[in-house]
Amino acid sequence: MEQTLNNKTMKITVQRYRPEQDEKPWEQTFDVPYHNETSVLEALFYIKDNFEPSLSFRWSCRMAVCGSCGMMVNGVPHLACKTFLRDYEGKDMKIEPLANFPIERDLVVDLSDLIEKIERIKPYIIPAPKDKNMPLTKSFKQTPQQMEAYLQFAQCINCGCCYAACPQYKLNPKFIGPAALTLLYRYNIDNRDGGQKLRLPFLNAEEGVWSCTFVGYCSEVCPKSVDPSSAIQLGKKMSATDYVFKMIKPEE
Amino acid sequence: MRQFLPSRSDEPIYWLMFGAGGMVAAIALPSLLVLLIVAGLTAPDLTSGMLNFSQISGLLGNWFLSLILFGIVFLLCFYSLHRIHHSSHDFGIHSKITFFMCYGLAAALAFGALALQILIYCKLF
Repeated sequence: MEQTLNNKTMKITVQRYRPEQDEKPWEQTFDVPYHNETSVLEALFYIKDNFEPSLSFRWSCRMAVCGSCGMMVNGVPHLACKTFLRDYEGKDMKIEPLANFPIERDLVVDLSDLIEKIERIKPYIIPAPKDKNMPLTKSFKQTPQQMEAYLQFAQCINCGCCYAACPQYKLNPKFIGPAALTLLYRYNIDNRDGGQKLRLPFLNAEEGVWSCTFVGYCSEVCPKSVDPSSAIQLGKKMSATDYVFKMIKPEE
Repeated sequence: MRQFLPSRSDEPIYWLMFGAGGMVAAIALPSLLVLLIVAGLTAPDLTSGMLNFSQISGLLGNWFLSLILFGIVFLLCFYSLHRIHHSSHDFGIHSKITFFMCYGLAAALAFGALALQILIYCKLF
């Protein structure tokens, strides 16, 4: 590997935090050699192998599928495996854990708030009452257009980058947030789904779509090009329509 | 898992007005401004030209036109103060006071304009 490194090195500062030793996070700088294909994740492997074996970070697939390696690179949320050192040529790099989440250790954050919120909005197909007793031999029908409507929003890998980018989540951690609201919308517009009524209360709440002020940074940083801000705007339309209908024709 | 359902937000009312106001600001406001500037250039004072008092009071004497103008003013007031209300939240002011101040001011401005329109329509001044 050493021959292919082209003698290029980058000064990489990594935020460290070891809960049993450190009072608060601190920074450690390394000179990391790199070549054209070195990703931030590989740079972290290099640091762990050659300089600092105690450095902790999450990773798994190395190909932007698992969503484990979300972290702040020069203050912007990125997937470490999908971000390359060549794009920062001539600059220094600073790697920090994802913003807006509690730090567990070094670059590892506690994502349980995100996981709980995704769980809360029931991100799975709930059959409508008329489909409850559908025989297992029959299948739900869906046209390509019906799939097209939600497909983009189904690409989320729950990496948490949008939460690290969201200024409203930073101000109010009760906000359900971009990824969970996108999934909520994705299942609500799925024609096979009949659980809209169960999800709408979370969409309609103040901490649902109405905490969003359409900053749009979530869509900018999303490594899977999901565009959560558009899902939330469409969710606002859905919630407002529901509001007006309930005003004209209240339930019970 | 036990869950309690969150209560519904009343934000759709303000958001719908904000959306409508945004359309007005994008479409009606520029053409109104062009008209007013062109009319203003022809008017050296308030007694001659296209912006003289009798001309304007004649325009506002038409109830249909008056209603459209009120709609534009009303939506623009709520549109701009909705923005200020939410921006104040971004700047760290989270109290309910900005809510009442912003929408109160919007209502005061809009209905103040309506009051003036009614006065002119009824030829009271």
